Formats: sequence, C-alpha cells, structure tokens
Amino acid sequence: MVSSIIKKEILNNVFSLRFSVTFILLLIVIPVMFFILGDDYVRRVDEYSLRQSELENYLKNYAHFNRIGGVLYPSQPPIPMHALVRGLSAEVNMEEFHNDPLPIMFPLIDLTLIITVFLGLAALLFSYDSVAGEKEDGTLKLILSNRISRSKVILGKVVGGVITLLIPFIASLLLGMLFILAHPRISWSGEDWGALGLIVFGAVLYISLFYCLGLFISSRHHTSSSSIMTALFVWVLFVLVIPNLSPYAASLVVKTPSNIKIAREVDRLTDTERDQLGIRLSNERRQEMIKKYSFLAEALTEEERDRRIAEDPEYKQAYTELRQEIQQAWDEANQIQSKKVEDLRRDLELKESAQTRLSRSLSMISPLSNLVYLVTDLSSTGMKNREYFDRLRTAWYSSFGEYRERKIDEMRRQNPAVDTWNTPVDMSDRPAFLYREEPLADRFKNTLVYFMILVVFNLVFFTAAFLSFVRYDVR
Amino acid sequence: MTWNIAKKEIVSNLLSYKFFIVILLMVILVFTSFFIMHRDFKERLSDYHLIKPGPEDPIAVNPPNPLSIFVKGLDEAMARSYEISRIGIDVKAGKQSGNIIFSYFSAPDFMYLTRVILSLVALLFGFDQISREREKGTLKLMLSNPVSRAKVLIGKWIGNFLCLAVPFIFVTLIGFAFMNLDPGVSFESFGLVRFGLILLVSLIYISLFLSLGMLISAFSKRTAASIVILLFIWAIVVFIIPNLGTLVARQIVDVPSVRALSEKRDQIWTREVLLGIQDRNWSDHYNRISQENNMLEEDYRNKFNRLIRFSKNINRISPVASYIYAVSDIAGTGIGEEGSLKREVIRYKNQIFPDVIEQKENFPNFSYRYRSLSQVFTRGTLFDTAWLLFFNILFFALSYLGMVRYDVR
Amino acid sequence: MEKPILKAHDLSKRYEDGVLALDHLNLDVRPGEVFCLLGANGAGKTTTINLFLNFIPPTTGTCFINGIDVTKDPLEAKKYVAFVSENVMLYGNFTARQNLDFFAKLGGRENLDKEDYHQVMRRVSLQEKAFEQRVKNFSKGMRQKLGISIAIIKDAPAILLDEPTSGLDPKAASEFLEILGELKQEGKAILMSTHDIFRAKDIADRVGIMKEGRLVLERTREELQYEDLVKIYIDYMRAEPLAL
Repeated sequence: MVSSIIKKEILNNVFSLRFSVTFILLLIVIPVMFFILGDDYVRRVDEYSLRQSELENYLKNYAHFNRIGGVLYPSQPPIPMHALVRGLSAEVNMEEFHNDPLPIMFPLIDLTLIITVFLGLAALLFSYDSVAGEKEDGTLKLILSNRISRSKVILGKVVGGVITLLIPFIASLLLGMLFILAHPRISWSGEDWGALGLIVFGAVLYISLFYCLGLFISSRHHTSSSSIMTALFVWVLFVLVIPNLSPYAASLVVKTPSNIKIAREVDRLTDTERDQLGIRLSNERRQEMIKKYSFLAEALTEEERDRRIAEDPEYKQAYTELRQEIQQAWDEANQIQSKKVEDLRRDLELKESAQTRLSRSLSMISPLSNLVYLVTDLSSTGMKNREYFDRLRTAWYSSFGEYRERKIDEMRRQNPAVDTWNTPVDMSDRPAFLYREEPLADRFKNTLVYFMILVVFNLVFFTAAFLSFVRYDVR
Repeated sequence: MTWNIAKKEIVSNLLSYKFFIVILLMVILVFTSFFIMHRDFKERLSDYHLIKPGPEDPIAVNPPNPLSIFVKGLDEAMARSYEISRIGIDVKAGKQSGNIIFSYFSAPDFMYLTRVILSLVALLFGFDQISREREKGTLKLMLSNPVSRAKVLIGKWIGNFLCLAVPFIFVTLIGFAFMNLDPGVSFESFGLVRFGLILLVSLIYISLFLSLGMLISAFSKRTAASIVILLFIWAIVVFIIPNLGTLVARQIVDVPSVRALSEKRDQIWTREVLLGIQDRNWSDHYNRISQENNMLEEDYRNKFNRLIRFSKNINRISPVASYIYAVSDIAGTGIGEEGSLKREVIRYKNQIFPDVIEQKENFPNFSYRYRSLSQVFTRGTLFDTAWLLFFNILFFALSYLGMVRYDVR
Repeated sequence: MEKPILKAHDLSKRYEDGVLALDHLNLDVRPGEVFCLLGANGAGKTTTINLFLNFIPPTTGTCFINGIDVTKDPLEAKKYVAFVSENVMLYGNFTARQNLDFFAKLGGRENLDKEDYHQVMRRVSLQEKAFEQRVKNFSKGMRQKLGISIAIIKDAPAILLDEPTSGLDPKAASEFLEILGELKQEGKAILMSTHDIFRAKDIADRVGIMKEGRLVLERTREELQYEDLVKIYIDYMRAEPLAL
C-alpha cells in the first residue's frame, strides 16, 4: 500500500514541470561549479608552489635567525576539497594593506550554497502543495476513500518526495565527480571521497528535513497559495535571517572587550608600565646594594667607573653584584607585566570563546547552520580546521625552536665570536611544515553533533507533519 | 480606469494573508537590522576613538562611516589604522572580533535585506498576478469590459508597487528617524542625501523584481508552474551570477594572492635589514625597500584593478550586482571608495616617507575626503542605476507582450 | 424588425493544433430575444462566446456587437455587452458589494452608491446579510447571482452567458432563469450557451444546436411547440459525426 503511494508521488513529481526545471538547473549549476572551482583550485596550487620556490630562493642567501620568523612560517596550502567547498578558506587578509575586498562583497559560491539555498528551496517547492494541493484537486479525498491509513499516506509522501529530490541532486553530483576524476591535476584521496560521502549524507538529511517541514506547513493550510507563503516565510527565517543574526545576538549577551582595546592595553603594559615598574624595582635594589656597599653611591663618570672596576677588585665585585640585581629587577618587572598581559589575553580568549560558542549554539536553531558547519568541518574549511592548523603550527614552532637552538650552538662552537642572530645560515635541513588534513575519523567526530541535530529536526518535522495530517480536514 | 484597477489591487492586497506575512517580515527585519548594525557601528566608533592618532603622528586613520549601518560593505577594512614607518605601511586594528561565526554569514544590513529578501517578496507579489486572476475567472470578467489589457497590466503594477513601496519607505524612514535620535551617530547632509539615494535605488531594485514576477505570470497559465521558475530564477540571479563573475574573472586575470605579495615584501625587508647590519648604510637600504615595495605594489595594484574591472563587467549581467555596486558606492563603503582611500594613504606615505626615514617628529595630519556624489555617479553608479532601470523597462515591456498574447480562457 | 445587437457572420476558428472548433457560424440575436446555444462539450459553444469577447481572434468571419466589429474596435464593442462566466470565483477577499463596485466601474458606471448596489443584489434575490460578506464563503448559487448582478448593473444592451446554470440546484437555477426572463422583457439581447435543454425550452426565443463547430439546427419557440426538442437533440447527438 505504502509502496503504491511512494510510486505515485515519485511519478507524479517526475512528470511535473518543476521536476524538469530542478533537474536541468542542478545539472547545469553543479558541474559548472565543479569546473570553475576546480580550475581555481589548480591555479592556487600553482601559485602556492611558486611561493614555495621563491621562499627557497630567499633562504639560500639570506636566512638568518633574527628575522626568519617574518619569512618562514607555516601557511595553509590549498587542499583538493577546495574544488567543491570553500567555507572560510577565502583569504581576506585584514592584517595586510592589500586586503582582498572581493570575498566580502561577493562571497564565493560552493557546494554548501547549492545545498542550503537550492536544495532547501526545491524541497519546499515540492512539498508545499503535497497536502493542500491534493485537497484542492480533490485527489486527497479519493485516496482516503480507500483502505489506507493516513499514516501510510504521509509516510509514502515523505519517502516519495525525498527520493524524487535526490534524483537530480545525485545525478548532477555524479556528473561533477566525473569531472574531478577525469581532471589530470586534481586527485582526491580515499578520505576526500569519504568526506564527500558524509557530506552527501548530511545533504540528504537536510533535504528530507525541509521536505517534512513543507509537508507540515502544507497540512496546516487549505489552499496551496497560502501554504507557499508560509513555507517561504519560514524558509527565509531559517536560511536568510537566523544564522546571520546569531553572532550579533550573542554579542549582546556575552560582551567581549574589543581586540583593539586589548592590544592597546598590552602595549601599555609591556611598554610604559613595564618601564615604570622596572625603574622602580631596580631603584629599590640599588638602594639595598648601596646599604650593603656604601661606596656604590658615589657618582662616577663612565670612564672613572671603568678605571675603578679594573683597579679595585672589591669595587668590581660590588658593581657586578649591582648589575645582577638590576638585571633581576628588570626580569621581575618583565615577568610581572607578562603575567598581566597573559591574564588579560586569557580573559579575552575566554570571553571570545564563550561568545563564539553562544553564537554557534544560537545559529544552530536553524538547520542551515548545522549543515554549513557539517560541510565545512568535513571538508577542512571551517573553524575546526583553524584550530587544528593552529595546533600544527604550534608544534612546528616548537620543533623549529629546538632546531634553532641546535644550529646556534653549532655556530658558536665553530666560531665563538660570530653574531649568531644576524649571520646568514644554511637552513636547508630545517624541519619542514607538512600540512595534512585532520584524519576523517576525527573530522567526523567533530561533526557528529550536527548530524544528530539534523536527525532531530527530521524527527520533529516529520512528527509535526504526521500529527497534522492525521487531523487534516479533507472536505 | 487604470486607477480603479490599481485601487482594487491595493485593497485586495491589504486583505490578503500574503500581504500580512510580507509586512510582518518587513517590520521585523528592518528594525532588527537597524538595531544590530547601529550597535555594531557604535562599537567600531569607540574602537576608532582608541586608535585615533595624535595631531602629529604619521598615522592615517579614517573614522567609521555612519552609512555603514545600512551598507556595511568594506567599512571595517576602511577604518583600519595605517601607520607609516620606515618599512612602509603598517596596518593595525585589522580584526575587530575573535568570534569566527561572524565570518560564516553575511552581515544583515539594509542592503542584504533588500537585495536578498525584498527581491523575493517583490517577486512573490508579481508572480501570480495574471495567472491567478485567470484561474479565478476574474480576468475574463475584467476583459469583457471596455478596458485594454495594457491598462489592466499597468493598473496591477501600480497597485502592487504601492503596496510594496509605501510600507517599505515608511518602515525604513521610521528606523532612520530613531537612529538620528542617537547623538553619537551624526549623518549630516552628506549622510541624509546619500541615504535618500540608497532608498531610491532600492526602490528601483524592488520594482524590477515586481516586474519580473509579473513577467513570469504573463507567460504562465498556472500559478503552480510559475512559482517554481520564479524561485529558481531568483536564487540564480541573487546568489549565483553576481558571485560567479568574480570567480571567472580570477581565472582570466592573473593576480598574485595577497599572501604572495606580503611574503615577497617580508623577504625584501628582512634581506635588506640583514645587508644593512653588515654595511650600516641604512638609508640606502630603506630606500631600496621602499623602491622595490613600490614596484611590487604598483604591479599588484594594476593587476588587481584589472581584476576588479573584469569581474565587475561579468557580475553586472545580474542586476543584483549592479545594485550592490550602486548602493555601496553611494554609501562610500564599496570597492571603489576603498580603492580611493588606499590611493590617498599611499599618497600620504609618499609625502611623509623621507621625513620618516630621517626620524623627524612632526607630521601633517591625514584626513580622507569621500568621493563626491558626482564622482561616484560618473565612476559607474550612473550606469548601474540606468542598468536597473533598463531591466525594469525590459521586464515591463515583456510582460506587456505576454499579456497581450495571454490566453484568458 | 430591429437590427441584431449580437451578430456572428461566417465565423470560423481553427486552433494551432489543427482542430476546427467553429465552421462558418452565422447567428444573430435581437433586442428582447433569448438565444440558447445547445451542444455537447467541445461543440463550439464556449469558443463562440470567446470570439464575441475577442479573447481569441477568428480564423475567418466577424463578430459584431451593436454593429461594431469586435476585432477592429474591441474596447468600443465591449461597452455594449455584459458577460456572465461559467464558474467564477470572483475576488474572495472582497465583499459582494465590493466586487460589484469594482466591475461596475470597469463597465463604465461610475457614480453609483451603496443603495444602487443593494438594489441590484436584492433584485437577484441575494440575501441581505450576504451583501457585506466576503465572497469566498459564498455557495455556487450565490456567486452566480452575484455574477448576474454584475451583468445587470452594467446595463449593456447584450448579455453573454456561458453555462450559467451548471452546478446549480433546481431552485437556484429557476430563480436565475426568472431573472433572465425579466432582462429579456427589458429589451436585452441574450445569448446563452447551456447543456440544460429542459430549461432552454422554457426560456429561449430561439434555440440553436451546435455539433462539431456547426450550427446544425435552429428552431424558434413557435416551431418548438410542435417538435420535441429533447428528441431532436438526442437524435443529433447520436448521429454519425458530420462530414469534414
């Protein structure tokens, strides 16, 4: 019984104008997107290699430890999944004078957009009149005048509708995938395909959730024209409004001091305040020293003092002690101020991550956000990848630090008088920074929560549609 | 006669569920957007007061633009602090928030609302105008009277446009008035005139989509068919085509990435400093840094400007892109204005750079004057506005064609 | 004899798919006359009406309303004809009076007031309380009454009706036809397409049977006193399809 409903739904949809339009649209848009993004990925790979070779050239002649930090640092290479998903990977580079304005004014289109906007819309377009429209046509009464329960009907509608929508989506994806397979310069690993598979699964959940939503709305209306209005209203809220408002709403609740303010404060703490503190502490120590060695209070010119140090061993010892004490005073000042800076930064970090967490949670009220986070995290283009990259970078910095220590020791051993910081060094044996995407299993673990929420949305909307339909007035 | 039809449209809309939903959406969204973007602006303004340079500092800063409340555009980038040092231009205060969720979704400013949501709303007003009346039988009834099809179309258009435009203008002006109450946000005549123009261009944009909707309706027999076509056209025109042009342009115009540029600059600087330590001929090296950087930058700027022009031309296939360009240029937060600001900063740098190298103390102030409206219009906004008007006329003309041949039975 | 207000001369219509919907139709309707067009679905009745209203252009031939060629000067011609459609939903969110007001103005009657509208609606026996109610809740019979009141208020010399009694219960249908009878007395020229041969017999001054686009039979009221219309009709329907 259910299977005949499913079959009817599929056939009815497949022969409709909206199906052909959706099919043609997706068949054009998705492969074209693959094509353009794929080409762009190749271009960026080439540019990345160019940058690497320029770096090697530089390192051959000018690598010195004092300023190597400004030239040699870990950077994220383009990854094969950029042929499909861009996420946050667009480089705006606000710290540079030549920031790129285009990603702000014209964000990139990628698979995420196609799924969230087009497929979500398509799901609503196919379901908004599934109940109300059949009532208008009179076919609903006809169906229910037979021996079939309403629950079977609604179940059949969901299954049939989702299958219908998957046909054009999967077909165009396959076409796009063919393009990637055939491309000589794009090679996807097994994990990449695995990630794509998981993304598709997420997309299926997204489509079916919207389909159930559309069914629910349809079963709350008696005309399809009012049904579509409500459906679009809800879609606009979920897709275009709630996600965009969430970070701003979160910032109303969890306030963070502005980065600029903190930067100002840090400057002040490590500069003027540190100087004041250092001077005060070293004066205190000087006074103590003078109590111990009264002759240190004498005011001598630099020449006189140097002479005295050379001639008078007692003075020399006292003076050395003084120097040590003053050094310690400054170290203490540095320490105290560093701690203050650390506390300040940690406080900022805590507040920022609290605000970020709240924004994320608020945005997850909309199914769209869940899908966006799911897709971007699985394709290593989201916030999780940033954290992962930071960890990789920190690890590299510490291994490079060790390398530097070793190299500097070696230099000193060969030539004790050498300026270890400003002499060019051969760094061809340095530890390489190798970026590998986080293992798929870990990426999946990160996104488990989003999958679950999408499943919950499905259950909620289906239940709502079910209950509504069971009580629907078909007259 | 036309006015009778227009009046009927207005009353019919006022009584409809569709209109109720639309007004609800408009009110909620406009007020929320204004509230949020206003707060965002105030925070950026207080940040500006923190980084404002002293009267004789070699620092160029441009305060946040109050019009960014409506069109945020690139204002955050334009409000950064540019410090001229011996190495060149040092950018500070680039990132305002560590909350990464902001990067995922577009800012919900007035331009976003109009561009994305109101365009959909206008399409929904128009798409069933003809086909629904045919289905109800009232189209036949109307046309059995001495009223021409053109009059019916025009009357419907006027009635529906008023239903959209009047609440829109009303809600926007109320929001704007509330914002003016805040003494910290001063629009002055600069802001008022430009806001008015932004509103005007937005109305042209909305009417374009109304006409598009009516066009689709005049060519489809059944409302159910037209809504699918309409929604997909909307999605393509709003989301895909404006952004596609940028991608395509990048394939054609080869511009080095910003990373590549900054890496080269870092390499030049560290190399020269290393050599400088060895031979102590500092001014020579700083000059060489400056020279090579200037060459790099000029090369980059040229290529980048080509990219911008190219992508603009392709993007403009969709009138939505024209809307973005027009409105952001009028507000002074668009690509053109940012480019102009950067040129001024470079000019300022070149002016004071010799003194910076010699480590002098007193530097002239930097103050940026926004491009005048006539400059903005001659640099492309006039074209964009005309392009929007063209689409209006085109769609209306096509709807007339469709209406004339429309099978009313 | 007075000149006919409605006149079809040699009217033919072939659609794009080749179907010949009308084949050299000639008919006329004079003031004070009710002409009923009978025929099966697809016989050409609705096409005839659509041609009179210039909703589609004729392949050959001409329609005249009050002597005006409908294709040459449609706007002028439409001043003289009122139309009642088969199944009209009207503007659901409007009240009966608001609908009436709108169409009256379209028809050229500008300066009517509420009482004028109420009078017309009373005339067609629409309940008083329905005057200010939204049409979307009306029954079919009520909507048809409103439809005819729209035609009445236009006060045009000709009235075209397309299957006006289809779907009406017997009481509503006979009320409707009573009103038509009154309008005929007032001198209106009425052309009505219908399936309802029984009522057609009662109200028509002349009857025409259409089959496959041709007017195969015409009878006046007097002639029908001696012939059984029902029998004729059924015989024609049963007969072999006409030659091309």
